[in-house]
Amino acid sequence: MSSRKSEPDILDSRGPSDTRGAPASRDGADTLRTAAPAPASSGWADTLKANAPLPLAVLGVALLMPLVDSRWFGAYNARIVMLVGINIVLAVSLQLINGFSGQFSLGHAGFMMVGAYLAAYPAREISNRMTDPASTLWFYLSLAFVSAVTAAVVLGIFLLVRQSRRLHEAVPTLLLVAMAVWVVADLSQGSRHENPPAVFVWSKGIVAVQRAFAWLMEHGGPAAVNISAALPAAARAPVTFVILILGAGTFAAATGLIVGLPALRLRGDYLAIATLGLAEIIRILIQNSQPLGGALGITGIPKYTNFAWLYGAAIITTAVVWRIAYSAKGRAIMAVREDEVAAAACGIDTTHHKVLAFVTGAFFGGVAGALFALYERSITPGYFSIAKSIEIVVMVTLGGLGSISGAILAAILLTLLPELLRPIAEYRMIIYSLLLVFMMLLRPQGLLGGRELWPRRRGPRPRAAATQDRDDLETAVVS
Amino acid sequence: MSDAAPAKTAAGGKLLVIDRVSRNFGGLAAVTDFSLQLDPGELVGLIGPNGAGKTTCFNLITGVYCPSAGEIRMAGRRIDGLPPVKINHAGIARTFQNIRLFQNLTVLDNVLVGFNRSAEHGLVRTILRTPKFSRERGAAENRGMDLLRTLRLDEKAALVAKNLPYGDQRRLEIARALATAPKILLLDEPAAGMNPQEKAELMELIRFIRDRFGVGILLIEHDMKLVMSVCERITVLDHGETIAVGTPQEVQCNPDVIEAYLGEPVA
Amino acid sequence: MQYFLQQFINGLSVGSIYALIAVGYTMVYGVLQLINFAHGDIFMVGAVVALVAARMFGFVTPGHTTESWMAFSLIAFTSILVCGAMGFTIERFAYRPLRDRPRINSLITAIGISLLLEFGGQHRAVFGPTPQPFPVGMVPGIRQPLFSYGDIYVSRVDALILGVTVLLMVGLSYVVLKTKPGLALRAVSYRFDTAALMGVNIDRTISFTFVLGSVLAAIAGVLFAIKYPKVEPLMGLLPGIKAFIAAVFGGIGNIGGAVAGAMIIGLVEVMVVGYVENGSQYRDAIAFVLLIAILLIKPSGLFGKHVVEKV
Repeated sequence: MSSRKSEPDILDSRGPSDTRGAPASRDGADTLRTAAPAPASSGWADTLKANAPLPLAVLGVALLMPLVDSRWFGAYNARIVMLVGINIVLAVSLQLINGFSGQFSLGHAGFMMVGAYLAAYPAREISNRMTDPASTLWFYLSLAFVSAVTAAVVLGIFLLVRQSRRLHEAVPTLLLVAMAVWVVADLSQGSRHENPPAVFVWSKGIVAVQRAFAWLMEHGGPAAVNISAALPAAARAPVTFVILILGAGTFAAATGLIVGLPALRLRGDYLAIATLGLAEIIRILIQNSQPLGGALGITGIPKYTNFAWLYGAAIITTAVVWRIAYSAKGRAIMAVREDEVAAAACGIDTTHHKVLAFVTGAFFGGVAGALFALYERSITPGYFSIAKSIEIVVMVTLGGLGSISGAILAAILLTLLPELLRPIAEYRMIIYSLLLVFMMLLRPQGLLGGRELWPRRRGPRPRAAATQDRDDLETAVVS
Repeated sequence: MSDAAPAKTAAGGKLLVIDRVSRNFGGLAAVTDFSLQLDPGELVGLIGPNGAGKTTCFNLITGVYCPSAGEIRMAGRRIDGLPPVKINHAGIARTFQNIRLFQNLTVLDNVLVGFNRSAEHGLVRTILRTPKFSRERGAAENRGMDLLRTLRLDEKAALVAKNLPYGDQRRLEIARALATAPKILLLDEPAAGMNPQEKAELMELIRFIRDRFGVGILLIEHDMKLVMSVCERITVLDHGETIAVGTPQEVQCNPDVIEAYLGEPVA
Repeated sequence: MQYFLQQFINGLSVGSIYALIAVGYTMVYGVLQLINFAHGDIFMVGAVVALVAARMFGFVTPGHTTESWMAFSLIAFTSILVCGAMGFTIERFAYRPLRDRPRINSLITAIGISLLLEFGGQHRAVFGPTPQPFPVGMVPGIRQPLFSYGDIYVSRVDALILGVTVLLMVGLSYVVLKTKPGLALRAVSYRFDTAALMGVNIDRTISFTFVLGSVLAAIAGVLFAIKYPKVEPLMGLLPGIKAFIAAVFGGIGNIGGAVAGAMIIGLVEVMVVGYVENGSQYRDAIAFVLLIAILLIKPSGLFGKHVVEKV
């Protein structure tokens, strides 16, 4: 090792030459901007390495299925295994929002609920017992179109109100107050007036939306049925299933967008309460909606989720979240979590990355809900309560914020735990809550402390070269 | 206000032109009529007593605050009023008075964050891990290590930022700022909390960065020795107003500057 | 008009109970930046302990209910004692060790304690899951109206609630504004570290805050049980959440704001139920809607100060 000179020589003023042999340029700024030459190995090898395990894993899952479904394993245990799978998807998806993005969301059950209902309803009403994929797809497309138009109108009004702020700061607030008073005044006289204006606008608006949707379904319906009939019989059910899951997930993602955008301005606890509130509002809205079954929920949903589908979805969820988290995108998301101001100063679009985490997490939350609905055969609004959201948050935190394997581990443990405690059923929940308290007191960083079980491909690549350059630098300094 | 305005005026301005910028907070005039021009390769200092408005100026340049009056132009294009993200894209990077590193990320990750926008990784590419993704990732890591090597932080690349000693943290923040490939670098009190040895090394570092990377550096500092020996030009603020502009020698002898710092007129 | 006044008084009464709980939330958040999820359950414990005490002291037997101010004060006092002690213990053993840790840990612990209280209460050895009636009759003359004027009927229940709340609010303002512990509370709310440097005993102040909040919650529990005499281990859930929303609505950390927020929520709730068709179905959603509204329009709350992060 070379000796250091006594005077400060933190850097050789000549600077180390560019390691690839290119001359140190006079216009030094270029050194910052030129991309270093690509590493020796071709990118395709990496892609193969990354993607190959996936089909193998799914195959492995498919092979395990007969075991799980067997009489020996038992229907009871099979059900637990299925619940574990659902919770894995929920926990991993929430980890992206709460752990990697640092946005404390207490409303994940809301996304699950949207996914569940938007899979259950078409599955039962439209898909004709899972034999009509085209109609199901048409359902989602019609719904998407109608929602987009409605959203555009509402957004337009919102922006108009915002624009009026140019006139005076107080105008939007005054408008909102005036509107609220108008609505309440009208509602209070509801029994006396035939058609009070506010109710008129509101109900006509809803009727228009419903009519548009019905029109679309009517006119696309027959064509869709024909398309479905043209498909091979064996393919119809799986295709319908995939459409249901993806469609439900997409709408949950859209809900995530609606929740995520206003949530941007909120920090920490405020965000938690806002997400909790929004999830509750969604729940109460669905609970009071007759077409969606009201307080009794939807029953008679065709059952299609099995071990293979569920764990296949779990594998895909884990893979996607992993890949987003441990990449440049994930690094940016984590940077925004660490210090939003600094991240913005480094050129990172904080809005984009926060919303990305929210929407992706919401998508997979919806997928979990859809898988759940198509397994349970019936869903009620009461299931997707604050308690459910808290359950998922506990899983994510217990596993360690920022650890995907931790979330999976915690999901498995916390689903199994109540079952293991069944013999002492009456003390079950008490022990569960004591466990929470003691976990937090004794190991607050969670089971895995934010680390992963299996190593991420981390560490600077050209290790050997680094040592070489260092030696060059030392000799340059000494000489 | 004394002394000549900078050589080039608005017409044939330098890369970064701050043109009579003011900022009021309610009734308080934090900054009044601040003007400054900076080209890549120049080393300019911004000094003044505490509360003079120096960091406010930085915040105005980097988009944290919007100017109440005046313009800021980068290569002729107006950048005042843009959010910090866009300002960074325009080529201005900064460090912060209280170090704002990404505490729980590694040293290398902190720097790689700075490369984020120059290699726009698409979401689909990220999920599918296409060859392009792997190439971009490898290239980014190489660049990151190069940068760390240049700033003598490469051996600590895998350490978590919050575990670094103070001096290293400051250097890392500068490295991260450099990773965004800026043409202009704003350093906010980089020598705060350093002992004389570290300050001397910092002086070397600042000059080295200017020579190696060719960035224009605007420096807020309280350590007069450092400022006077490193900077080519100095602007002095007091209560938001510019009271002197000039070379270190000129500023040192300026009676208004002395009064602002010592509080009484020199005979 | 008379109907309106009736609902107005009713709303004030509901709001008062929310206010007593909300104040506890806001004080704890002010000093610790912690949402004490277990606070709503302390409210429940207040009602439960009063009921159990009434039975234990023999004031309530299958055949007879003692009607006396003394007896009632005794069980109320017992409830206050137990809840105050409980608040102190929870803070001391579950929150204090986590003070230096990220806040999410304390939040999860709070959730754990809340679940513990709820499910512990549901165990048959403690209370059991079925609701039990509160001995409202212990309060003398409670069932008679205070006065009635035409169609307006002001019950003694509401009068009691409003009166007690006003007294307590006056007392609380005095404590917070004019006494040394109150000053310490405000100092710690404002600036944790500096208060410690100034010689304020942080641990004691925080304990004091918790005890104060728990005492108010206990009284709220007893009052609530008089108005809606169904006592059960989960009764704290909804009022707790609504009280917290009230605290956020009024500006979290601001005691006056919490009271104002609680009154507003109570009034709006009752008005909607009273005036809108099918209003009672949406009763619980109202608090959440108000929450979202305030978070969108003014996240720091009605009376909260918008804290700007210094860069």
